[in-house]
Amino acid sequence: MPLLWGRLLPGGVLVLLAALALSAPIYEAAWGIDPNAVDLSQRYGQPSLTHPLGTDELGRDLVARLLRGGRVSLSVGLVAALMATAIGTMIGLLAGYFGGKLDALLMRLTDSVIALPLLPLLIVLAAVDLTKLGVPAAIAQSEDVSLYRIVIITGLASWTTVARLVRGETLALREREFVLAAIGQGAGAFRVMFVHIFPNALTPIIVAATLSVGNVILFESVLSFLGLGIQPPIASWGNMLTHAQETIWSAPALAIYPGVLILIVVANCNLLGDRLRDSLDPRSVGR
Amino acid sequence: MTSLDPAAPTAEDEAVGATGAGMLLEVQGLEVTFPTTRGPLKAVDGVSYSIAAGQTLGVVGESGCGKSVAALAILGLLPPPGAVTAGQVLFAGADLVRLDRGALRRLRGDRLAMIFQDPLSALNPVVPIGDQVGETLVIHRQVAPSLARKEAAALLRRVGISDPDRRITEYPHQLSGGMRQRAVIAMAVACRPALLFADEPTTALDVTVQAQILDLLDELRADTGMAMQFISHNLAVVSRLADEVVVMYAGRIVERAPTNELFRHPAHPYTQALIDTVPVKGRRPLGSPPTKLASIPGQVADMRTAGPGCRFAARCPQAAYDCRAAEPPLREAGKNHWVACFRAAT
Repeated sequence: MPLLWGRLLPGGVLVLLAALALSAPIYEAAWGIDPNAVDLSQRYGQPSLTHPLGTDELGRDLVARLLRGGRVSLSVGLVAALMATAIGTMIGLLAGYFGGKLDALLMRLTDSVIALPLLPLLIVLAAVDLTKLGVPAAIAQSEDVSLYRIVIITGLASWTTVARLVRGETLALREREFVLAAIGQGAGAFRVMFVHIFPNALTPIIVAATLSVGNVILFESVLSFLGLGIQPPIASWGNMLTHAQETIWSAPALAIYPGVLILIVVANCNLLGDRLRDSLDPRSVGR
Repeated sequence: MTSLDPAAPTAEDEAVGATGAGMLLEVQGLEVTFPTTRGPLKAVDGVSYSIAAGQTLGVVGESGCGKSVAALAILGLLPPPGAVTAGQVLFAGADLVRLDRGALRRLRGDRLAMIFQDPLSALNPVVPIGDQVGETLVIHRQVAPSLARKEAAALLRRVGISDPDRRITEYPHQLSGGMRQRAVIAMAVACRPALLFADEPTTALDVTVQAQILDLLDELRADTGMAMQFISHNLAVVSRLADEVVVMYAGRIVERAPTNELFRHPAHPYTQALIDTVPVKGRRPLGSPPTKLASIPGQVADMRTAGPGCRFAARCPQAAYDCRAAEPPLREAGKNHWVACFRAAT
């Protein structure tokens, strides 16, 4: 069954990576390692029994850092992509179903978000002092805040593709007779949108969501690389790259491992998206 | 009882009075207009009729005569930019044309229901049959979805679908054409509507299934006492179900009569021509050369450019000068028999 394996491979790779990331505490317990513990006597350690892939510039175990970083990168990617999909689906459904002025308004909003110079905006957003926005200090100053911040920022920036896609699907679906039949049964606008139109648009939405996971992970690593994303000591593949850039010639492994992992995850997300499109869309040929 | 303007309220009031008071649905001077790039198109032009509780009205006419549009207009389902531009539709005392959207929505599916021509496109392909059939109950009776699914099974059994407990979990593509139309009918009658609009419900089905569906509709009507507006281009089908028949041509009613009277004494040349086009089994003697099926020459007049006269005049074998000069009003040609033709005997 080489064909089936080829189709399942991208999903399998992603599941395997997620399982590895989830098993980080097991690894840490087995080797007796704290991923954030600094040991300056062990800087740039070579691979050994105690540190299978060696240590980084602060003497932290590289395997533990990669696993922890994978947890962050994958979960940020997943949650932000879900958020972007939810926002995009809502906006696309409303614009496509009601049409007219609301459609024009929402689509100009979408165009504006696409046209925004994203990176400068994100740099500004990432620098916002949350306590001034009324976020409780306990949350605003906790270690995890950079995590929430980046999920929200990337989610708010990447819903546009899904919104345009869902609007297009909705425009086509609302002309179908079963929508007229549902309205004829007394169904209200929101029932028609969510019970009748949304399930019919689910296939392209799933494909778009899968594709956006890869984009979001890439985005997260760019932001973290620029020092605007996940803040140390929390590891993410993006900020591991940042710290590795100074030693790229003396200790290239520190840059290669997270870089290759980002490549593998993004490539497999895109492959999985394409495979899903091929197998879910009855119109696609050559299956 | 003649009037020069068929849409004038006085003539119509008399017409309604002639068929009896206490009507369930009274359509008076209904006019539906679609703005087009070549000017406004009146798809329905001053149509008046009424349906008593428990009665079946057949509406016949060829494609594009406005029979479906009239039904959609009554239910407030006109596709934009089409709109009702004149007239009123009285249902149980309320004017449906002027009712606000929420009130009309509460009537639809509950007191008024509609069956569409093609059951496959009228069913949502990704929602299980049970959920779709039970949806009306969820909307209008506030039944919990799980309970509605059980009700749906009972309804499916009622419309003659075997093994309904399995069917409610299946999707439209897993059902045969006849079963799908039965499911659509179950959906429409779930809340026991007072009036059911059936828009060519048998056209997409094969002939043997057609007969079963017609029997089912007649049975449901007898059971629930609902009235029906049965829209079709098929005279044979209409003659089987309808108590009264309205014949439409180019957006106007040309003849209205009780079913038997209409088929026995068609007064309008269009109705006569329509009845002649129905193929009759055994009309041709065995071994004789095949005769061509009868047809009506010409095409339906463009409603935007039509002159002042009778719209059928261009295709009418009996048309004379006066037919092209003025619109013939609906006048009485017999008991409860109304016809819009100068040539018809009265």
